[in-house]
Amino acid sequence: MAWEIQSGEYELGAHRTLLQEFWRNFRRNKLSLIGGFIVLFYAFLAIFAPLLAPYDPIEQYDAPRGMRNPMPPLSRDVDGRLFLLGTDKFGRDILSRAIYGTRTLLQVAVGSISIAMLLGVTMGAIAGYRAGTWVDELLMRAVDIMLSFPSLVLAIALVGAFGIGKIQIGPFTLSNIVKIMLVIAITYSPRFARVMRAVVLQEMGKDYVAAAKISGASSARILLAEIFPNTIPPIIVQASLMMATTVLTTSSLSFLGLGLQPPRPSLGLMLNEARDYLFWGAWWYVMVPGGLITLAILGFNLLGDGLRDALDPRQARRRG
Amino acid sequence: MRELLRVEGLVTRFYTDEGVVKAVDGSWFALEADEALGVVGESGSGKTVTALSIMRLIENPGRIESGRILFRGEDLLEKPEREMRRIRGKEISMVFQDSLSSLNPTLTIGAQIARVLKYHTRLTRRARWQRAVKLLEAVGIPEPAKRVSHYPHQLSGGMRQRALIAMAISCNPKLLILDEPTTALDVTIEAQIFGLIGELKDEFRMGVFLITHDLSVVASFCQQVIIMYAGKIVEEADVQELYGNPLHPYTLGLLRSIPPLEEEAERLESIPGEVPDLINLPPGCNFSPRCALTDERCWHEEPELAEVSPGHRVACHRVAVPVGVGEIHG
Amino acid sequence: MAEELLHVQDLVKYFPAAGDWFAQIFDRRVVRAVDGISFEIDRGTTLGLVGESGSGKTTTGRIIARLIGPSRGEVVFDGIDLLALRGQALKAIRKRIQMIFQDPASSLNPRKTVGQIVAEPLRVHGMVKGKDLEKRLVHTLELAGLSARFLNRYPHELSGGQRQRVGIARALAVGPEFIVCDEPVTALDVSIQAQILNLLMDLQDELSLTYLFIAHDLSVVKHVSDRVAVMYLGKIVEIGEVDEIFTTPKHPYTQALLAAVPRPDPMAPPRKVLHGEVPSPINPPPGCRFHPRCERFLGDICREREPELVTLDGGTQVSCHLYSGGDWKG
Repeated sequence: MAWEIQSGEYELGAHRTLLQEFWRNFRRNKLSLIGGFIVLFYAFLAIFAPLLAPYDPIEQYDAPRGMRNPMPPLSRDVDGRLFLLGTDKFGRDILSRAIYGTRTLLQVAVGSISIAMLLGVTMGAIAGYRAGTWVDELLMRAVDIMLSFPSLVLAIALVGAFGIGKIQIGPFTLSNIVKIMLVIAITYSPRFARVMRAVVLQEMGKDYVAAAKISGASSARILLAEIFPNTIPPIIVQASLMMATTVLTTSSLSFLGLGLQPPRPSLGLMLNEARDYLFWGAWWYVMVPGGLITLAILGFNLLGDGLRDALDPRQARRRG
Repeated sequence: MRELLRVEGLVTRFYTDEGVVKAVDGSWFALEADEALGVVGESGSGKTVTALSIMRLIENPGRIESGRILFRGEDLLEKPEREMRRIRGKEISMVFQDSLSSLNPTLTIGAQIARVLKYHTRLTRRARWQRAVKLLEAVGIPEPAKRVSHYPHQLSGGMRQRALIAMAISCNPKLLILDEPTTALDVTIEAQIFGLIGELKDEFRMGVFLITHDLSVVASFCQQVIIMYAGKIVEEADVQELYGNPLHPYTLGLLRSIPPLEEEAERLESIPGEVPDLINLPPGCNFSPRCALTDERCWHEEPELAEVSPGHRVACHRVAVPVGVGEIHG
Repeated sequence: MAEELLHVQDLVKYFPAAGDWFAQIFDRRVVRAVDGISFEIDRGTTLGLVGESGSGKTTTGRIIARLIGPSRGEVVFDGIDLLALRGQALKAIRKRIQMIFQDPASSLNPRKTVGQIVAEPLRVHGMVKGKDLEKRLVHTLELAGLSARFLNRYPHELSGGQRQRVGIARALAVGPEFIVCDEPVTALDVSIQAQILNLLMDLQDELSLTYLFIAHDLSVVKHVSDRVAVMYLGKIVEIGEVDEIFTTPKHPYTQALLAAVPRPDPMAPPRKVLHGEVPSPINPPPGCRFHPRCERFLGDICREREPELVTLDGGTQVSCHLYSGGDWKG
């Protein structure tokens, strides 16, 4: 009898992988697409910097008779070289310095976020899995202490402790750039730890974890194979939003002279140099590095917001 | 008896990125002034959207497409929003399923009731507070003078639902809409709450519009029943008629799905399949993919709600309509 | 003669009332979730465990499934002391004891496909590999009423009923003898509930499974159970054959609970209301825990002395002073 059909089957909807599902949700929001394009643009600048930069970013060029460095956009030097975005006070090409500066900025930002993620996720995962125990307490109070400093102040203090320039730790020499990455990573790892702990705690309360226990899975397997995949989306969102903050911190450190050291091109340093020429009408000198920093922060923030909306599992389950 | 509410041809749709959700697709029904009407349906049947449409609380991307909602003879869909705000909470009020999220966690129960009174009455501050205590007493909350200054999280689920009911009846509404008011509560508490609502209904002569998935609750509380399936009313009758003589295959299936408490049942007769996707509804009758009685016509032609006996309406091709009563939409 | 599969003796579980270790320094109160319960389940039968929220039924199920440890007490499964098992021995017993959860949305990992979810227990135990795994998966899904087409789907692509079938398939994968069903149909639509109940009962016949069936819905429990235990505030107040309990309930609480359940019949007698609410399990009433709400309150004895479980003629055990001595019979 048809009335007695016991199958749970009826027409299944179209099948989509999790990635397809994500893309469908992501592209819905135009702003997050714009954020994505901005981030791609920066990645492009950073990767192809040597090909895109018209001149050596460190080379100094002489202004022609009657003109002084910094020269405004579309000026030419004595030999007739064209500087699309003008030159800085030492006669270096601002466009080339900006492109290379973007590259360093992204290197530092990506590097420090990766390290911060690694540190924070590990701490957060342990604290979350052992929630309520002394291990959790120890880790989270350490996190609280670090978060109670404004991040820039903490970063400055750490640079102060490490000193400017490269440092020697036992047999390892850390170059200045790696050192700065570490400083920023240490500053921001607590935020990842917090997010990770909260997510792990929330997932642990769900019955699929209980089901895994009943299946006989070990603690390590439950944490790595069951819980961990569910923590990736919120961590990615956090990383994207933190990229924006890191860009600002890196630039601020450089601006204060505590970050990357000259003559290495850095957007923060360029801003610092440009400061003196602001009242002389050298608008391009500030606009270019300042604009690039602002746009990067905007891009990562838009992307982060878009990712959060697209990766939210409530979105995917909306119709369930 | 006087007619309180009449809904005519209500169509409410949601325009989502996935497609158009036909949440309510042509509803016709009426509610008498002191009657309790039960609207029964599973998830996605459109029962909650019907209630929200009456309250004019449909938000983007949803739209009320057509129809008339006559409340005491006046069409609510024609009213300006200002007027609707006066009606909501005073003339028509609503109690939701989740009492914790329906109450503001940062305000005391008394403050929340007083606020409703402030919007709709001219009582003084002190009088509002006194009335809040009276209302809590009326809904059977012990020690109302003390409870009135408690926060929602300090009350049990049953007490919170009582407080919500107190708020809903604070301005003596003519129509009380209840959306699954006891789903989250234990059965003994559910019995208490319905006992209370029944008393209040008689005392204040309110019409009650009860949304639920539970046919048993409707049988013990309501006078009139509507069964909804996938956005459409499939059957309507008074309780005696509906439970004594259910006609639509879906209604029959629902009744047979409930394990009986009194007699023996070896096996439940379940309805096969699942509730359809409201974006991709099957052609013809929405219930045909799950129905055992289908013929060719069911797959092509949508059945209309037709009266089979006075007051008993069914939307099914397979239910014989007596000559002279039905046969309208041949 | 039926063979006893599971025996629970004086099981107790107290939770700290305060959240973390810091708050516990100042707040040493405990929640008496389960407070000394005993029962046994014969092989191939179903024991229904009913009670309202806070009765301790879910905690009991989770202790038996070895998800949480008890404060004290004994659970013997097929002659094995279940609570003493550690490491490999515990892992081995997990093949024999499985669980089905209430909320199919939270009990399935959203990042895994149906195939991966059902295969997980098989992989953990290294039971089947390679080509056989696929065959085993398809077979298991078919047992639960799903086809091989579901293998690559994610939980969010399925309906509630289909998800619960996946949960059932996962429990069946390792070929268990005993399944703890924790409110398996509560989250489902009425028409889907009956499908899942029928499925669980068919599987029991086919695979000679033993169930501990936890639910708050009395009609569901009556339908699936051979024996029923009624819990109130961490205690079993009545336990016996399903027909005995439902036709002649002995304990005043069981009687009140049954009278409060609505029937899908408008002619049924009105629901009786049990006044009051379940007291806090942090500070349960002294003597009989039900005495503040009991309609057959006998006086001091109920307030002061805790009743013991006594066996009556029909085999039902009840803990109530009405039955404990000859004097109060009635």
